[in-house]
Amino acid sequence: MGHLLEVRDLSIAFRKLEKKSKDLPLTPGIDNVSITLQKGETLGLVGESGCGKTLSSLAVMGLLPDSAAVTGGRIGFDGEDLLELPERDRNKVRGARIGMIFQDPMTSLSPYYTVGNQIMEGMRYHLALSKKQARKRGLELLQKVGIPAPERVFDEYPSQLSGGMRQRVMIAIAISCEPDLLIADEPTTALDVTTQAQILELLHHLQKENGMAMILISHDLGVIAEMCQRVIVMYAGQVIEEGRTRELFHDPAHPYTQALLAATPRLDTKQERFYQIPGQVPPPSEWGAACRFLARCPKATHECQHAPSLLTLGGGRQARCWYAGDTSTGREEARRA
Amino acid sequence: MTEPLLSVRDLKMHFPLKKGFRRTGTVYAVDGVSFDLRKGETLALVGESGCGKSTTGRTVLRLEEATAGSIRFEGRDVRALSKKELFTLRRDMQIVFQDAYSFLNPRLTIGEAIAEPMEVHGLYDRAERARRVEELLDIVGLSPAYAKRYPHECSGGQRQRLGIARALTLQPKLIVADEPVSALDVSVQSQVLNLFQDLKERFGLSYLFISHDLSVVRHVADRVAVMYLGKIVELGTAEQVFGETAHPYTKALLSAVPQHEVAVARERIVLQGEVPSPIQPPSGCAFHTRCPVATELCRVSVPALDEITEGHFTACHYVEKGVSA
Repeated sequence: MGHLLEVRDLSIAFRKLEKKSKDLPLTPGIDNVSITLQKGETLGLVGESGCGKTLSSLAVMGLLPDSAAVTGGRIGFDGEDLLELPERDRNKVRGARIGMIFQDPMTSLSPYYTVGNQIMEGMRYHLALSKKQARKRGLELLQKVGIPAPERVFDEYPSQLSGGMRQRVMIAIAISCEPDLLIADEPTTALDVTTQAQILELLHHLQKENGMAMILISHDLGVIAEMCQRVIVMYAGQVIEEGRTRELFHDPAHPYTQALLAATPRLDTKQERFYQIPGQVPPPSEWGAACRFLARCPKATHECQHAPSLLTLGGGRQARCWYAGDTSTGREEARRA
Repeated sequence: MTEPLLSVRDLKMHFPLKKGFRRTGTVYAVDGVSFDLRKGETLALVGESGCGKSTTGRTVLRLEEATAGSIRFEGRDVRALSKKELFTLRRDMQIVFQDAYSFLNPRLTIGEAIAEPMEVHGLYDRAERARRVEELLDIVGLSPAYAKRYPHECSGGQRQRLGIARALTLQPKLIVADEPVSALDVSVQSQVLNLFQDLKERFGLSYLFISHDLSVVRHVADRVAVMYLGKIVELGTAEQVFGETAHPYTKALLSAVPQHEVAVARERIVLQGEVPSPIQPPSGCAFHTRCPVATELCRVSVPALDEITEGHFTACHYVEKGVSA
């Protein structure tokens, strides 16, 4: 079956902009990241700050900062390699066939234009709608995302709205051209839990209705577990584990995933002490041939001096660990520690 | 029972809303909050943004002057203290903020920043201060080499440790921790939470722990106060609030927290609408506009914070005494 999105071995590196020499070594951002997505599927991308989850999604969107450059790989979208497309054709994909929601709607919405203007912009550009048609559709969209008084909000500025309402506007803009893929980068992180619940429900509902695929980026394992069918866990610029949500959370294969789950506070049981992952994520300057989790891993051996590639475990499971085979024992160790 | 370390009664904090010089309204940020904090205890204030939890914390420390109510710390009336007395009392009550970056002076080295409170209070000589800085860094798990570094050289987790070190400088009895782990990643968050726990045991500290994250509160708090629109709607031990949840708002809040343990099937209560504005809070029970069980009574009459079982209080007309729903 054809994939909607097929990111293959994508590598991105940063160069220092201020020093104009191109001979300077690049700082790696992400390494050989592969992401595949079927039509209508929801994929979760988890990891801590700096692991490369946002960078990967920006690359798909074609919104990499000037300092970042793709150093290898391809981004296949519906049969085309987006990296090969000229900028003009890329524009036709971005916003139209792939929509994106960002974490903080206050910084991604323009404070100078009304909500209505910003909703209509994409539709007028991509769908060549007249102002009247765009306004009509814009109002429908606002209604669809659960904004109580669409007519009023349409003429308001983002600063006049609450955080939850702004995020709804963001969603309305992202889905205005009925994209095949929606990338939601920490869409609820800035929101309160009760508002988060509303937004997640809305996304779920819209997805079902439009049959759109979604990449949900979050550091919140709970959000991922409730929304996604499949999960990719990233660490220090690499994919370290991939699998179906239920299996991955129930029986994580990579020691990092195990530790992450053990360190996450749960509502149903009380822990006196939290499982603590020692140390910190290594900065890119320290990424070498060894496994990047080596210094923090309870199971590390001399073998880990040479990092494994992603090992296939069957059932769509993959993990970047030599010891990913015996998962349940590893989990016990993480719990006990 | 021994006298509580901190006793807050009917605390109110109303901010005037002004347009030019004209007063156009009032923000009822905190509207009649009462609680006790015992020695060595962690009391968590939870709620969504704008519920008044941070304002309560700041008012307790007199970083804001309360509009009404009483605050007693070890029996002394905090609100009646003179500036000088308050200065001395501040040694006993310290605060840890969400983002240590915003309050650390970027031009001071970390050593200087930690020593500053001692200087301000005229404690110890230079050599002793340096020794204590080293000791404090060690206590919060940072190497002494950090004393010579600047805040921007530190990661978020390290900065939060610095914030804690600085709060500990004057050997306080009470620490108000305002969202201390909200900006941190999970793996770092667990390190900092464990540090809080260790320090509490080591120094007999009491915490007023302000957080929006119920899963975190579940594990650090001895007692929990749930706030909604400037009022406490439920108060009890962590076991009572999480295990025998009484108030409809607390129930909705708990059900809204996404969980990664898929095994537990839960019924989600999705609240409609948004938190009303504290400028014009709803009449009667402030939660009635979103409450799934609200009736006419809730619209007109404000429910009192009643004790339903020992030590478990809730402000709801429809929670019966003696039984937890």
